[in-house]
Amino acid sequence: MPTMQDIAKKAGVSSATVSRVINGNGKVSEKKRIKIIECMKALNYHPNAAAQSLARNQSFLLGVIVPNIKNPFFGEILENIARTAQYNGYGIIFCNSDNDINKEKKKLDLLRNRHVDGILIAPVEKNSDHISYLKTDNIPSVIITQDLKGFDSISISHITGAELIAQHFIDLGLKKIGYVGLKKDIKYISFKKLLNKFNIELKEHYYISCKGRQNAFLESYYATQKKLKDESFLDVEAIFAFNDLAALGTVTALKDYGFKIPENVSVAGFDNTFLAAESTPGLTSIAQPVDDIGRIAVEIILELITSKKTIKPKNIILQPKLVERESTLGVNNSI
Amino acid sequence: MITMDEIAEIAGVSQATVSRVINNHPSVSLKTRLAVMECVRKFNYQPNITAQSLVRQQSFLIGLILPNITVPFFANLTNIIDSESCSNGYNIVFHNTGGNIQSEKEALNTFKNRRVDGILIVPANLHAKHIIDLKNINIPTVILTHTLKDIDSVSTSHCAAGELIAKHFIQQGYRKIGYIGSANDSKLQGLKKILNREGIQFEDRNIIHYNEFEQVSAHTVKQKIENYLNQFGKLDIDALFACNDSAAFSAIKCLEKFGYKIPGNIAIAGFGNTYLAYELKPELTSVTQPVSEIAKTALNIIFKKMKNRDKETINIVYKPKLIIRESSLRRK
Repeated sequence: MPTMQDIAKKAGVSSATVSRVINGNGKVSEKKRIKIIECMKALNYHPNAAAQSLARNQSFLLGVIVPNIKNPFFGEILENIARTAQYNGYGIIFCNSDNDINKEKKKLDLLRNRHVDGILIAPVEKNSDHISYLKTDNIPSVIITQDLKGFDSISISHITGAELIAQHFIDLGLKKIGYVGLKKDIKYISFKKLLNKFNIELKEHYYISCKGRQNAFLESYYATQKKLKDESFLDVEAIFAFNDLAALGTVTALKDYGFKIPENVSVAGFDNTFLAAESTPGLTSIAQPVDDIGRIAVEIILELITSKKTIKPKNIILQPKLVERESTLGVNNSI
Repeated sequence: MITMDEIAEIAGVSQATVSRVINNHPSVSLKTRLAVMECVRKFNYQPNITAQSLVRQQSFLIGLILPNITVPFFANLTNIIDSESCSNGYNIVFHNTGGNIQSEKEALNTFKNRRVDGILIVPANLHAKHIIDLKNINIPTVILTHTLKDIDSVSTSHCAAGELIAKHFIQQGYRKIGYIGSANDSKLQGLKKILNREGIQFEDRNIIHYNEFEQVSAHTVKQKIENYLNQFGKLDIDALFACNDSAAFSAIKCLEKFGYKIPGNIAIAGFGNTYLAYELKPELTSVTQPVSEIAKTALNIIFKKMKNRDKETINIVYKPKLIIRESSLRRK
């Protein structure tokens, strides 16, 4: 690739003059400027961003780590991050952690070594050391989709989301209620808590364990199938799954068994990915404002990068919405 | 972040010594090495890859340009490209064009500026000048999912996909075939070729038509089908091939709303065999592309061309496979 020196030589000027033209600073006569630009075009010259970034101590790169890009929820977030970053002249280095904490650490190290200007991360676990080092080392970072004290973060209230589903089931008059996911998940905890307020117990025999790390659909499909062998599960009236994929896995297993959705069982998911709208029956779900997450996350990080002052960390929590579809038309409410 | 100079100062050695320790140069005494490494660990020093890349003239970055990351096939592809690149010490610089050729052009320029070591691109428009000009680019570049003369590419034969679907439809006893997508798509050419050979007429009015590089999204499919039905009253077909799985599903949803039964009244098949095809109901007949092979082969071409700049163009075309599911089966 041609260098700045090659341009200088061809244009018959010093490389300092070429540099002034590229960076748009310092005085260069119009005649020289045009000549230099012509030479750049003729030689197909591209300024070396790596060299510029070292000199300016700024790479105009943002690192992004998400747990699973195959989940359309993260796909939509990445799309919005990329759009906002590109619009502001920043590039994206993208990494997928495959929901694996060791991979996440390795990839985070790589991003740090590259001296990206900032990092946007949806962590596998909030309390890992490599996440807290971002703070100690003063690397502009924004935690996305989760809420973390001491960090700037943008998330959606999973508590509100789970409560909306609980309230929806209660409104439909459903009492035998199950959950698909993990018990340590805040969605489970808040869901259970609200049901308890209405004297509804989330019973163990309606609970379906699902980690959902790799393929939430298949995992919940098989877990539900297994559960269906248990007599005490069969009178379940409503199930809330921690995400849409898991919900669809459960729906499919229930349908295969001969249940009608929602006539026999109501099922709700979380994330409101396009799957929820496309599936039959349409899946009731919790809509997270994905467009806003990606955009706001980039806006915060650009503020962190460009601001000379230290800014107090912001924890933005967006409120989700209940999107009702066919999958939860209650027994009593059916047409 | 702590710099090499600061580490040198704390360890009481020169910056050159720190550099030698980090790059495992043998000429440093064990004692000095241990002292330096202790500081490196204590202050969590990370060597600056950008600085290293200038010296080595290699950025260890692969540029990836896609029209739309939310398309499941592209998400899948990105996942594999990321994991394969990382295990070879590379990172992906990712650019989403949204199908906009101006955005694509800018991406190529920034990638040149960033001195990426290779570029993988799914072009928004194959005929755009900056795409045709890629044959002269001095960065190893591979076109994904399409084939273009004089530029390295890895793809699946879309024509063969159309042929597979046509044969399947015929075998199931369907004769009136429809298509959703661009009339210039080689999937349609393949479909027509087989129908022609079997003496079955394909009516051009049975195409829910897209312009060649128009995004085929859930929303637009619904709209176009509704427009079509408003205009013609009904779809006079018994089988429909959609150019991707999401389009197939949008068509199913929409047609069901208009009272059609799938596959009872209209059989439907998609393309891509994304997880939509097996995770939604009815399970969708689709044509699968070997996504993992495509990703790995494309990266290998880049790695090969980085070492050895031979001029010979590599065009790899994988054969697709038909996966038959309930959406296209003849009801008995």
